[in-house]
Formats: sequence, C-alpha cells, structure tokens
Amino acid sequence: MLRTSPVQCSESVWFVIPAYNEAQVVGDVVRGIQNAFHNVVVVDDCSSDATGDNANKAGAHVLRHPLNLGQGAALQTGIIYALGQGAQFVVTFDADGQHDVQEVFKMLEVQAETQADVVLGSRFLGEAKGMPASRRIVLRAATIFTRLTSGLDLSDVHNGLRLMTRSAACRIRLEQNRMAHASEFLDQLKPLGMRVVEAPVTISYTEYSLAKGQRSSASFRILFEIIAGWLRR
Amino acid sequence: MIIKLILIALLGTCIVYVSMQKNRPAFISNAISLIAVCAIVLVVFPDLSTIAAHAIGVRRGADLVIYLWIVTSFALIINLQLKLLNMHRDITDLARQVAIGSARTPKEEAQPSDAD
Repeated sequence: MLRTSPVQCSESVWFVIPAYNEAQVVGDVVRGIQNAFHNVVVVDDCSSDATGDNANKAGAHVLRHPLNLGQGAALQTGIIYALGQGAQFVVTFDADGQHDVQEVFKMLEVQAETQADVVLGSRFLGEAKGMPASRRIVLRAATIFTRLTSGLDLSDVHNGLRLMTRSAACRIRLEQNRMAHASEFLDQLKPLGMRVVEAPVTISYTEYSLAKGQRSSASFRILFEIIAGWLRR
Repeated sequence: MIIKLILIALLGTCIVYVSMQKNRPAFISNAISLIAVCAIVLVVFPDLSTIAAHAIGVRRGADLVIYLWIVTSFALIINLQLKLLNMHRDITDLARQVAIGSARTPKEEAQPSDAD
C-alpha cells in the first residue's frame, strides 16, 4: 500500500479516466492501476463498444454520459464523482495505455515534498517513447502559446497525467468539453493562486494510441475552441 | 401594392406573435416590435428611407435598409450563438447528473454457490 505521506494512502487517491471506445485496452489500464491503487472511475463518453462493461469488470467505477460530450466534459464528470466519494487526491489518467501508473508514485512524492496543489506530468522532463516528430513540433508550439496565455513556464502543456489535491480539484472547473480543456485547465491555475510543479514522466506511444489519438492538425480546432471560450467570457 | 399588403400582413403577424411570447424578456419583445413597426412605416412610406439615407450620407434608401438588415442579422446570429452555448452547457450539466446518478460500482467477485 502506498504511503508517501500520512494523507497519501492509496485509499485517498482516485484515478479519473475519460474513455471513448477504448474497450480493447481499458480493462488492462484499470487492472494495471489497481495493482497499486484502489479507486478508479472510468467516465464512458457514450462509447459504442464495451468500454464501460470492460472497465467495470476490471474493477472500476463507471459513469456513462448519455451522449458524447468530449474528454474535457468526461474529466470534469469524473472529478466531481471522485470528490463526492471523498478523494483527497485526484489523478487524471489516459485510457489508451500511454501512461504508466508507476509514475504516479513519483508524482505523489513530489507533491509530498513540495506541497504543490497540482503536479503535472512532463514527457519532456522524462521520456516520450515513440513520439512522432510532428507531434513534438506541435507540442513545442503549444508550450509557447500556453506560456503567453497562462503565465506558466511549463515544459509539457498537453499531458493528460496530472495530480491534484482535493482543494485544487474543488476549485478547478472545466467548461471546455472537448480538447481545449487542457489549455483551460492550465489557464485557471495561476489566477487561483495554485502552486504548480512538474514531474518527469514517461509517455509510451503505441500503434494503438497513435491510431486512436488526435492528429496534430487537431491543434487548429483546439485553438478555435480556446478563442471561442475567451469570447464566451 | 399587393406586395405592400403582404409585407404589412407578415410584419403585423410578427408583432402579434412577439407580443404573445411571455417567456422572453420585455425589452427584446419591444425591440422586435419596434423594428417591425419601423418596417411597416417604410413599406407604407418608402420615400422615408431615402430621406433617412440622405441624412446620414447613404445614397439610396434601399442601401440603408440593406445595411440595417445586415447589422440586425449579425446581432441575431450572435444572440442565437450565445443561446446555443448556454443550451450546450445545460445539456452537459444534465448529462453529467444522469451519469453520476447511474454510476456503476465495481463488480464484486462472484461467490461460489453452495452445493445442495
């Protein structure tokens, strides 16, 4: 059982996994997490396959959106659920197998040492196995953009592996339903006065995750969603 | 002359319909009614649009009407877009409540049944 600090027992850590048509891998992802942690909630974003069933059989709590809303909406739903279950720490984790649960131990250690509100995984401080060159270029550009908009000097601004304290999770509110939620998340941290640190993590790109994941060209759509979000305010 | 009657009838119907809408803020109903009344006046006295156009530096009354229509259309589109965004937010909140309310907890391991 994990005991990095008296507060950080595995019972107090909740994993939130947004998932859409990940029946092939979600069971393995959930089981991998549950080798070390107890509480996993998978938010099935109206998948057309057996994502929800496979996640539930593997031992996860499963919430199912009645219509497809997007990863941002699924994350917020999962965070609200985890907080309702008494989570003291919330970890956002991808369903496609790119993340390694062992990295979360390091992130919890970093949180315990720094008392950060949010610990962000960074593949550029760690390792990005099999990352296409085009993805690297787009992510570097996103880093520069995020430095300008959020005021945060981060090395990896589009990493789904994040750790938040309960207090941080209660204050952050994701209203961007689709992929622009990643930028929206970062944009909220400085105005909320949160202490943010990065931790090196390994992201493993597989044939499955590359085929399943968003294309680099989707960055234009994300930029449009970000601008639309500013106008809405 | 027939076209004037048709336009006046349509605009009049618009005024009646808007005034019957109780779930709309009063200033929006009033604004729409005012625009419709102005449109009826211009239909009955088309030269007024030319006088108004000249007063503000537009060459023809028809051009002024078109410009006003473009501005009004943009305002309507932006208003609709904002309503759509709010509706989308409401749908998200509702879907979230449904998802959380019907949460499935982890399946317990099947217990071996007792033999008879």
